[in-house]
Amino acid sequence: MTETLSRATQVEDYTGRTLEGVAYRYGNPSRVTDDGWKSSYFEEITSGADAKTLRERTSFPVDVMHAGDSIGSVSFHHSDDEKALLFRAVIDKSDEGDALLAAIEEFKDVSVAFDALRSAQRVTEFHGPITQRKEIRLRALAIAATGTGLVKGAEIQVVRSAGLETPRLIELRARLLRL
Amino acid sequence: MSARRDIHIDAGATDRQVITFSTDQGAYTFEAFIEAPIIDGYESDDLAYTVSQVGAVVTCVLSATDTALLDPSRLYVWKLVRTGTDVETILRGNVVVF
Repeated sequence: MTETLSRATQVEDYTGRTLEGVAYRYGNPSRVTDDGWKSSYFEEITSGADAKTLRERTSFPVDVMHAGDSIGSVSFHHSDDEKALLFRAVIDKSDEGDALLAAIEEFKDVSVAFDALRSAQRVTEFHGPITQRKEIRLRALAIAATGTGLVKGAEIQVVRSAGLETPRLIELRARLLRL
Repeated sequence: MSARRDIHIDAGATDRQVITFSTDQGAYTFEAFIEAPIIDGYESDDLAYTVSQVGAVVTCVLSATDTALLDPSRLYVWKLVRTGTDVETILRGNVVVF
């Protein structure tokens, strides 16, 4: 049996400073925490849970590690098979934005901030109880250091930028990695 | 305009392949590289890159004859560099099992 890993992109879209990837997959239970791992639970976002918020709003802020300071804007769209929510983030021309792009090799994961408006629960033999998010309000996309993301498969898959390496950026990059 | 190139990379080898393709907007240098895990018993054709270009969409596929050759802990990377500039597009990812 052949196994594959596939990635595709538009090579002529050189507005630059963009990150693309998977925000989350629907019906994909992931162990999450709300209190720094004092407790944890399985959570999944159901298909259609984000439909209303995506109709109401087309652009959301981007930050790093949920720190709250916006470094760009992000739009979301569904994958062709509608099994995942994809993102396309445009990073600001700012010190913080440049620092993220300069350090992007250290940042693979993403995490979506949202308000849970309606939830339910289901139980599986493998996971036990799973909190199902039936309706959510999206708030932001956080870029996260590799290995810190909680949702499997939520990741940056395409990075489009120009080479960035100056003493100022090296300093900012070091600061960013300490977040 | 479309092109398709199959680039074979030996299992267990660190290798880089560079090709150039063109679209209406200009030429692009494409670099694929992999630090493949060393696994005894596999042949060179067990792991391969395929690069497809249809218009301005480039698709890169890493395929293996056995799932054991694709290491989930490894970040696989392809790089597209626009010729004559420092603008680059990096495609990357892990093999994720759901």
